[in-house]
Amino acid sequence: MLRLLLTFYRSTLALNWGFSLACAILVFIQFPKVLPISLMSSGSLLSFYYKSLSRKGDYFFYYNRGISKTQLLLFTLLMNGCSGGILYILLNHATHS
Amino acid sequence: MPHILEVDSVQKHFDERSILTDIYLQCRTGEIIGLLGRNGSGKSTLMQIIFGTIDAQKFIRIDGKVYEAPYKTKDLIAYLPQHDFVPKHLSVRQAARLYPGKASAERFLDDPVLKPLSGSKTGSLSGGEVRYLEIKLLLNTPCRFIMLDEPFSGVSPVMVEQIQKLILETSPEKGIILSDHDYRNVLKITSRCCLIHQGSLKQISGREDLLRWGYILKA
Repeated sequence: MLRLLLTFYRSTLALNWGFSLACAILVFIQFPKVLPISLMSSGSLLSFYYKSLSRKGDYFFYYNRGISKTQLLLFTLLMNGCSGGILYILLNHATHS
Repeated sequence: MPHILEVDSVQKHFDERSILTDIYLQCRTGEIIGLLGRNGSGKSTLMQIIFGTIDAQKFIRIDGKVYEAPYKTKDLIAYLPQHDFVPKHLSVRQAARLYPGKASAERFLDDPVLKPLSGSKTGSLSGGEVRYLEIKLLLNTPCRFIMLDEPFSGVSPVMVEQIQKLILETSPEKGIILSDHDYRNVLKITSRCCLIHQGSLKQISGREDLLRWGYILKA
């Protein structure tokens, strides 16, 4: 189950990172804060929403192994929360030192 | 151990229109049930109601236990939608490792159709090859019941025969429900057949019944 959840998570990363980097570049001065926050929130939700619209057929790949859309969303948010949190600490530590 | 899937009192309306009215269907391990019906008669809707991805008034029982959304329970039921469902960025080998599992992936890929394709991304396969891969993936899951929505659609006659062979080989261990417009190929492999006509389910014993209910014009 974890491997399937990770497969789904990986498929959301390109859009999440692309969107979050674009947001962070737009507000250059706040880059170390905006990038991880966007990765954890708007980028994460946007990539999930985009997949729901453009690749909704793919969800059956996960449904057929007993994984619901809610589980996929929660796992994606959890992974982005962890990675965004670590990135936030690292970037802000680097800018303050 | 034989299992039983019971679908009872299914009713579905879209706006004012009744699509399904009081459907009852039973499928046991070892059975292949054919589901026929004209375009828009509700075959796919019924399958997705059974799977749990479309809401409706219904009772779905598997081995006597009622499920609101059977797909949320692992290894109970699988569904082949009409469209492709394997993510296009995965290779055939990756899909095999995620579904049947790492241990049995090589055995899964030891197949005249899939072996030459094992390194290819599923997005680069032909429609027939993807259909074959998806059906084999589902039939190799430990699910007790498998529903196949148009498994022969867009598939060449040779591939249809290979898909039929796969279904027949797996059927002793599973209950299978399949729907397709290619009724000849459906009748060829099913143990029992039903027709959705004006929202209700009619038992079909042969082509004469299909003629009687207006599904075909000549017997």
